[in-house]
Amino acid sequence: METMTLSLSCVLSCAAFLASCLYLFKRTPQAIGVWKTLLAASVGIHLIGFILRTADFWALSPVDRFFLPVNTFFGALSFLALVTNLFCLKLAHKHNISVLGVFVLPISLAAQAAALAFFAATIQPLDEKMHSALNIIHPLILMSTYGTLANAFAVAGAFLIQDWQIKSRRPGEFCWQIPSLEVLDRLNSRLMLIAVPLLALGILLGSLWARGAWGRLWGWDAKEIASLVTLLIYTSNITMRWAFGWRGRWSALMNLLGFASILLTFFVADLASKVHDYL
Amino acid sequence: MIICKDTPTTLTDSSIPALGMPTGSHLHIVGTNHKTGSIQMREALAKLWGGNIKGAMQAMRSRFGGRQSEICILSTCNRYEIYAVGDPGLGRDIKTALLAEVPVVTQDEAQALYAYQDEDALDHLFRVASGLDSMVIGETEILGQVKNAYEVACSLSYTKGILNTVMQKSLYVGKKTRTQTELSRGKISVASVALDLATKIYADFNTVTIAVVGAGAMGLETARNLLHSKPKSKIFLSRTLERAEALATEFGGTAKTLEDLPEVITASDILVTQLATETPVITQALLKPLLHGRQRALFILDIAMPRNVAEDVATLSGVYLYNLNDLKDICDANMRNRSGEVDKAVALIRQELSKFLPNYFRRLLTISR
Repeated sequence: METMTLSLSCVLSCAAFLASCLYLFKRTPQAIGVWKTLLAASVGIHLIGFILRTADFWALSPVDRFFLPVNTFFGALSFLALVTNLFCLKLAHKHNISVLGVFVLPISLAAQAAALAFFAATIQPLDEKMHSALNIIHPLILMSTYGTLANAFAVAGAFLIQDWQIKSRRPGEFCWQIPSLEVLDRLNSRLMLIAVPLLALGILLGSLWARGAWGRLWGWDAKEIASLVTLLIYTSNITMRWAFGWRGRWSALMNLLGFASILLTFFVADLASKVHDYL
Repeated sequence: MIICKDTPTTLTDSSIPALGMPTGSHLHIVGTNHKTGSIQMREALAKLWGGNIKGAMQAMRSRFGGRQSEICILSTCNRYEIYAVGDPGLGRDIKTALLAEVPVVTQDEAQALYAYQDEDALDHLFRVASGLDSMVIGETEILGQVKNAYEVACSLSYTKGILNTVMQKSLYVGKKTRTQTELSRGKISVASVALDLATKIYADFNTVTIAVVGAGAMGLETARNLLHSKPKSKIFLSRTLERAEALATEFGGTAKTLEDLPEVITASDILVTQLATETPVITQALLKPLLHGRQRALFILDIAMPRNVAEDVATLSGVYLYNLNDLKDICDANMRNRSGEVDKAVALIRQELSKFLPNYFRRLLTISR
């Protein structure tokens, strides 16, 4: 069932992306409302699918009734796309950034497409070791953080394009559609300030859970190292902004690096990890 | 929407009446513009009857009496046009009357006045309102000027069924061509482009400090829109404090001399430079230490020739350097885009004209009965 809803949501997200491109490239003002509506529909269908999957997950194993089905790549990627799209909708509406969809939606689309193409939608009960109160919110916090930082990555990308356009002294049509550098830089900073403390909290909760499950707080496992590197990159970015007045291009570039580290944590480290054989 | 007495009702019958045209209800446009007439001729026309539009309309009314049922005059720096409704020969007679009033010497000058009637007049008016007949294609000011001319004529009750219909339709077409084509898109003056670029760098313009270095007219012209956009503060630098103070008094701001340049660069977000110097005044060596710890971008508009800002300054992070050529290139690119939209706008006008003409002729018949 979730494969069907996720596929439908993916198609709607794709249509929303095309409509947002129409606004950016053809400057069709009606496209703004269209892409937001399509994305809202995509999020709605995705949410219904996720609720149904959760119901199946709880029915399969009643002991898992306090957890969400994010213990497989399919479930995790689906949840990540859902959170990313939700944040995108919220930011586009609140900050009136009509081009945000062009930059964010490829990320959530990639997550949805990867879930559908490479991973089975089969529901698996939770591993015995995962049954801990700490583990109820640990993955949710981290996934939500990743979704927020995916938006920050997109905003940083928009910043770099805008910076390049204005620097070039030959600004193209994009320049007049993308918000000002300061708006993008501030939004980037705000998203990091929301996400980074949550990222630290998520890692801390995971660590506390590991003490109970594996008898140690920190084991320098591939996933643990990658998540620590991610945290360090984002913390450095915030620190440099706060302490040394870092703004603009360098902060945006560091944001890209931080998101690359998230991808490494999410995919590569998972495959290399000896103990994180489940998500 | 302008509401006048005798506002026409919409006619739905789209067939052009087969009956003959009424004799006293033809739309005429007589006038000259920047393409056909010299500036002297436009000036002479604008000064007619005391240089007052109301006076001019009253004079035309008294001159042509019952032959002319409606009148409206559009007078701008680039055109002088009389819109009148009357018998078929009215346009020719208005033209003769105008030529008698202005000092026309050569045959070319006599040719400068054009006269259009009915369909040709409507086509011309729609083009004027759309900015296709303007010196700067797609400029928006003309639409306001047409509206204003109509309002003045309306207030004097000089417009009735025909002109009310025609002028309101022209305002509608003028708006439609601008919204459905990109005829008015992109700024085409360096001052507007400079302001647009600044709004793509800074979030709130009222937190921005602008510094104008040098007191040249071109620099002030480029900074005109920036200075009028309610920035947080304005600083004027000149070689002499007196000149800087004069500008500070004129535009409202603080005055400094060139010795204060480093301090002013640190304090400002936008720098407009126009100093007469042989070598660049703002170099990487000067700027680098000033940028240390700086949190906002520095937007430099170098209007001087020879340039005041060294080229390699553009490579510094957070510095956006534009010179006069860059701004002009953007204006030219926007102008090319506008020119590319002309065909679309013309097609739209033709479409509107073909829809409107049956109603127009029908209206003429309604009035003549």
